[in-house]
Formats: sequence, structure tokens, C-alpha cells
Amino acid sequence: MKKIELIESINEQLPIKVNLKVLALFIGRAFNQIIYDTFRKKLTSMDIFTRVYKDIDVSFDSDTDTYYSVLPVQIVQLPQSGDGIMSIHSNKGRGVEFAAKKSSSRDIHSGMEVDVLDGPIPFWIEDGKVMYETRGGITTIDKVRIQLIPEFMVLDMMDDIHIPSGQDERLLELVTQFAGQTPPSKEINDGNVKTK
Amino acid sequence: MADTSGIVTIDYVLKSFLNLKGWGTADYDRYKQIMIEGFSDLNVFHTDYVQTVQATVNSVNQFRIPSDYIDWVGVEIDLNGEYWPLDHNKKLIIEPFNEADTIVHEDHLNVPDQEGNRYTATRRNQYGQFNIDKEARVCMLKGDYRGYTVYLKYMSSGVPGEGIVYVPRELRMTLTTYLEWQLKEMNDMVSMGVKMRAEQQHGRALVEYYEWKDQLTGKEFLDLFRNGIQQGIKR
Repeated sequence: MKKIELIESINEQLPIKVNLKVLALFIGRAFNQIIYDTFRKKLTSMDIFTRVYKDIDVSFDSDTDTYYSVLPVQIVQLPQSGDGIMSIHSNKGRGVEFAAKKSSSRDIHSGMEVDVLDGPIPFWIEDGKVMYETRGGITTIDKVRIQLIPEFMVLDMMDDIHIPSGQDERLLELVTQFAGQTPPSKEINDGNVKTK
Repeated sequence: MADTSGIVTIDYVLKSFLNLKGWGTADYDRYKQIMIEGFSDLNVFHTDYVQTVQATVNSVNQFRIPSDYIDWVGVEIDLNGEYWPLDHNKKLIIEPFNEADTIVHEDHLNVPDQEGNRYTATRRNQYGQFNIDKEARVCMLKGDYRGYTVYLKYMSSGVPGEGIVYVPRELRMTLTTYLEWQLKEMNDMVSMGVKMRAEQQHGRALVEYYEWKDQLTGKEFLDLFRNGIQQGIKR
């Protein structure tokens, strides 16, 4: 199903009429909630929800001596290290080249064996950027490909949308719930009792 | 098809664990550190992982011991092509030395036990003695051996200061069960029964390792008697 088809079909079913752009926002929030609820306990295969962004630049910040990439899009956050980033590879690489860790673990691992031995390059999310530990071949990698779950809002209207199996009803329920909390479009909600 | 390797990397063992669990690579370093500690503990308390390094004695009759050193097995000196074991003298004290003058061990000899390759004189060198200051990471010698080649045979943690950690393949199950046990043990949400089961599984893997390593059934009996704890290596 295309993104535009999903928005229009939900718009048809919705008991309250809202602006399509606002509706897309609600669907995005509901979509995040459904992905989280479905996978929070067991992060099974999520490949169908992911997208691969290649040719992402690896930059160097000389102020902090750190390597980083700017996140290509906003991601759906997942309760695991790396948040919504499923994997990172050099453009043509395979195998475990990069591995997610929590930024707090970075300090803990400093000075431990794992920090000095050969291993994959750790990454974590910080200020909308993917940060890389200065380890392994990061100094020689200038482009990466990132597999992640993009937010609903950043997808194009003609992009395919996949909803976790058995969650269609829940999606409509959540969107209806969000839409029900918005004031009717013809009412003025300025807190003034004289305003009609 | 090529044969599988008898020595694997710790990354291989960790990937094997992640594969068993069906997990991805998130928190890879955390799991790897736990596994490294497990491997190191195994080498201290359970295996007899003996390494040998070759070094050259410096100008104050000392040489640097490697970072994976736990305890010594023997020190041998190369005297005209013969390897002479030195006596241990715990009264030898460390000489002040210039850090730049201390020769770091030169090379790990990759085969863990070199007995079969290098001939060692059965007679002791009556003049040479050694002592090791573990904290200072220095081996000091008595007798003028400056510039001589020495071999230090030692119990290793198996974890070098850099590079790759190699693991005997027969320890794969022991390490994966160790990691499983530690993850459960440190998780407050896991019940005591599940924790004990994980601990038992690790204990079983250890017993299997002993059974594989030692052919004597008496040894297996002793393992049960000692509750899985082994004595240290014999010098």
C-alpha cells in the first residue's frame, strides 16, 4: 500500500474529518506506537519496515576528535542500542563492521579490554547524528550505508507502507483517538467564553 | 570444503552466541567484554593455558613480562643453543631501571606449549636465578645475562593487550553458556530458577570440557568431588 492510499483510506473511515496533513501526522504517531508495541519485547525480523540509505558521508569533527554521519532521515526509535538504526556498513562492506552501543557504555568500556582489542566500530546516536568510536578502519571509511526504520512523516506519498500484521485495526483506533482529541475545525479555541 | 578451525577468535564465539539467540549486533561490545572476562577467568581457574614469550635481557639484567601474564611456569635462558631453566629465587629484588632501557618481550611464540619443539636441559643452571615482580611487570635475573635471549613460560589470561583474542574451539560452548548465565544472573527481572538453570548449563559445559581434555575417568570423579574447581598448574 502506498502512503497516500493509507492516508486516504483512513480519512474515509475516520468519524471526524481533519486536515489531511494533520491526519498524516496522527498516522505517523500511531505508526510509531504500533512499531514500538509490536517489537518492544522481541525484536524479531523488522527488515520489511527498514530502508537502506547509502553514500552517507562520514565526517570528522576536529573540535572533539570524533567521526560522525548526519542521520539521513528521522527514525522510529526502538528500545535497544542504536535506537532505530538496524545496521551500518561501509558502502560495499558486509559482516559485522559496525555495532551499536549506548553512549553511556562508551565511558564504561574505556580502558577495558574490549576497547583496545580489534573489533567492529561502535556507533551511537547523539544530537541527530550517528557517532562513531575512533577504532578500526573508521579513519579510512568515507561513505557508509545505513539500514534504519524511517519515520512515517519523512516518507514520500508514493512510498510503500507496511503495517505489522494484525495491527490495521489498532492503527485506525489510535488515529481516531488522536483525532478525537483535536478541537473541531470550525470552532475557535482561544479560551475566550464570548467567542463562538 | 575446508575443515573448520581448531582455534577461533572470540568474535567468532560471540557471533555463534548471537546466532544461537537470533539477536543482532546491538550491544556487541558489552557482550564481548563479558565473554573476554569469562575467558580470562577460565584461563586463571580452569584451563592450563600456557604461553611462551621470547625476550632479550636488558642492561640491568631484567626483561618486561607480557600484559597477559598471570603466573610463571618457568624461565629458560639460551646458552649456546641450549635452553637452561633458571631457579626461582623469591629474594631477588627489582633493580631501578630506565623505562626506555627495559626491553619489552619481543615475540609470543604462537604454539601454547613449546616443550615438543625446544629442547630444555634437565639440569639446572646453578648460577642463574630469576624472580618476577608482577606489579612492576618485570622479570629480574641473577647472573650476568645482559643481552641474552630468554624464554618465559607462563600462565596466560589468553587476552593480549591488543589485536585479536584467540580461543580454543573446545571452549566455545563453555563461553557461550557463561555469557548466557551472566546476562541472566545480572538481570533483576529473571527468576532465581532460571538463573540457577543457566549456571548449571555453564557448569555442565565446563565438565564436558574437562572430560574432553582429560581421558582419566578418575579426573572426572575428582571434578565432581571438587565441585568443578581444578588445581593450578604444576611447576
